[in-house]
Amino acid sequence: MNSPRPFDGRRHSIDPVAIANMAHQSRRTSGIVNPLAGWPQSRRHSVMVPPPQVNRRRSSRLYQLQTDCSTTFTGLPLAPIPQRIENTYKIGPDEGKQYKQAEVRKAAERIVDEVLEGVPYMEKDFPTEKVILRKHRDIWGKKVMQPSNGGKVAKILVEEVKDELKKLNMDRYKFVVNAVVGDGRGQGMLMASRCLWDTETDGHVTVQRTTEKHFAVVTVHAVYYE
Amino acid sequence: MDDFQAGEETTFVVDDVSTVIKESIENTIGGNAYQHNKVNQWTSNVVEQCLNQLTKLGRPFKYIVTAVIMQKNGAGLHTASSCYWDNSTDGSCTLRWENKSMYCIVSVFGLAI
Repeated sequence: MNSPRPFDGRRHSIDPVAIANMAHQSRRTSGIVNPLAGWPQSRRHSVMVPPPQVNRRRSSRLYQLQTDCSTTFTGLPLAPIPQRIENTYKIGPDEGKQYKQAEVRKAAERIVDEVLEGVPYMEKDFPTEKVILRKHRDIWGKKVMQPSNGGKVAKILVEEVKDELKKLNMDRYKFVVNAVVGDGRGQGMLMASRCLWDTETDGHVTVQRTTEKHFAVVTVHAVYYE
Repeated sequence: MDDFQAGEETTFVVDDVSTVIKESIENTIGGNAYQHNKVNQWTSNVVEQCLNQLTKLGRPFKYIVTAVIMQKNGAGLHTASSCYWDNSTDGSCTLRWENKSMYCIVSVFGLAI
């Protein structure tokens, strides 16, 4: 490529080479919102080739292309190619790494009780100083227009239980943790779940806690990754 | 060079699953009002129908379907979920449905095998 062409005022297609030139010059690029955003889009190039570095005084941030040029002719990036992983020839979990129902239940119950102790479920009060909540100050401290704290409690419950499950030394297991928190005002409610999985390797645990005014239900599903 | 896996879909497709869920809810509790003695059967039916339709899709996934049916009372409800899985292949779909007397929330989690 030779010396870059000057921008000639046409705004319906974007020429990244011209944009780089105009970036520090006049304001004629006002029709283009953000020339430095992610991927340069151009219909004029069949192959994305970075311009020669010789007389470039501008930063080359525009051209963050991968070196193997994985873009199509429109300049948009190709979808990532899925990696194929080698076969492990395993048909079940290893010794000592299986799903242990009792351990998971104990861990889940402990965490749920720890989080719910002293936490006002739905009112706007602030909780007592609990160690476990200091970690989640970013969730709890947010000044969001919400009538209640229930959403924050649910988020914290779910994150804490998931972190605890990761420590249980159950490799090759995927976890899904669900929390439902709400007011108990005399309404009727039923939760049900059904799973299509391998009953020998997978399982679930449900923990329920109720007070006079509120309830919380946490379910954990553990699924073996074959 | 390796191609994309054109024939078999190995990622969770949210749109298909969400249509499946909607159909099964409408078929089971479509025009009914909340009845305490029937709600047990309704939740089971919703979940079973969902699961049956999902297996008919014939994809290499393990599924977890949860449903909550709650009477409309002015009470508040919050749900949250956190999943430890493989982001590129697994996914979830949650649908919230209501009529004049009750709310129904169904979540489907699909985990690739």
